[in-house]
Amino acid sequence: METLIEQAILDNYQNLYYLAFQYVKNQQDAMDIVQDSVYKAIKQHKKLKDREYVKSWLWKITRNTALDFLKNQHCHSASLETLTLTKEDHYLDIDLYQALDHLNETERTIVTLKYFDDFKIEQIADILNENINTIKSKLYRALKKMKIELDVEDQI
Amino acid sequence: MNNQLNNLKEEYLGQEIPKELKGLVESSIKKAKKENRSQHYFRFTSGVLSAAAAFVLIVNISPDVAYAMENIPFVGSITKAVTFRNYSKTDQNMNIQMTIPHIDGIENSQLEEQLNGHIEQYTAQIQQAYEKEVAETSGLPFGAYDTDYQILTDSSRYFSMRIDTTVTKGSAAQFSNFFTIDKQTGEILSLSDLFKDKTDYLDLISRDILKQMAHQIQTDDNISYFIGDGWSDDETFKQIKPDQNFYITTDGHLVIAFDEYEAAPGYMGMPEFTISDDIYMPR
Repeated sequence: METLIEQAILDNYQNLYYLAFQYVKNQQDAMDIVQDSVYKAIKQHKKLKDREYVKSWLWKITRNTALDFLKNQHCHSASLETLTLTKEDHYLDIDLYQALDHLNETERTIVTLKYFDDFKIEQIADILNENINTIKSKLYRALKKMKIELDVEDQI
Repeated sequence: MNNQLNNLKEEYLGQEIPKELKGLVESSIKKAKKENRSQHYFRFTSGVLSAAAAFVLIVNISPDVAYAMENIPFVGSITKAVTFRNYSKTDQNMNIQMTIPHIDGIENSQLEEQLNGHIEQYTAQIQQAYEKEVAETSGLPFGAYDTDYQILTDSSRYFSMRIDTTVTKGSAAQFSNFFTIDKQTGEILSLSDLFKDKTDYLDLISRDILKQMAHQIQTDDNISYFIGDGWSDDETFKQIKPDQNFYITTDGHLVIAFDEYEAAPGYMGMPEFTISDDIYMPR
């Protein structure tokens, strides 16, 4: 599976970077997280049993690495669940910042995985280690917060 | 998808990427791969055959009937009569590279024919397994078969050679074939030839090996074999096979060789055991 993972990394590292960036909000840390995650993914290639899961697997590793990073930092802001973006996060384009501003970490991750990284609900449930219904309801709530109305065909 | 979401997606994917990122990613990959290579034989793989090995249908060619030859004894080096030919082929998702030995110019032409016949038959099986895998698989990971040989012994009495194949498809698996010639009789040896009739050599050898395994496990934490508790009944090593791989060393000792996963977890590689003198006297 090593070669498969390598290819998936080369195809997706930019999105993995964007994901890491959402968590740590600065370039250097985000790059460190991606480097670390990529290394782990190749080292632990034997843990990937089904090639179909390679993308989810990469995201899972990256997200967990980012979360570990934050835990280890002496950052005494509110718990991860209520972590919100602040106005000082100038990196984000205004619309994007505004849209994601009111979401908590999980909601933001779910929106990102679904609409930016193109994962399916089942895959998101696997990556976040939640059940499908939980993901659906959190996604629904996130979209409400973002004031996004979905057309009929895009319903969750 | 909803317009707003589309726009957000565009913005999201349009964010800046630091230019060093690609290089960092590539070197992380390289580092991890390199470490994986060198660790191949020291990582526990839970005794499950890799997908590549599962495709391989190699049967050990065992000369169970000793080839009765004209008794043309020949001494001297066979090594200089060993040449090789290269065989390689590249397909869409796999390639094969073989360095195939060939004996050319020993006095005993019958033996020469038999040996080359063996080698051709064995390497043909490998090629067949390769073709089968090419036909049945597609896409990544890229697969590779690599076959090479090694002369182990060329003493006054014996000539031993091994042919090794490594199959890489994501992870790697190895298997080997050994053969030994008795120069005095001009025969390709089977294990039974080395022992007097009626000796339960399989039992004697296996006990010796089990003893050595137990000792090794006791003295070195990193070593494990398929013995003792912790393995299922059919995984446990109990006895060698009649066509077990073996060879004779330069100083005449008998060595039993196991394939990957045969007697130990994958990380142990291909363990070998020198059989003690009281069971097989070096000659």
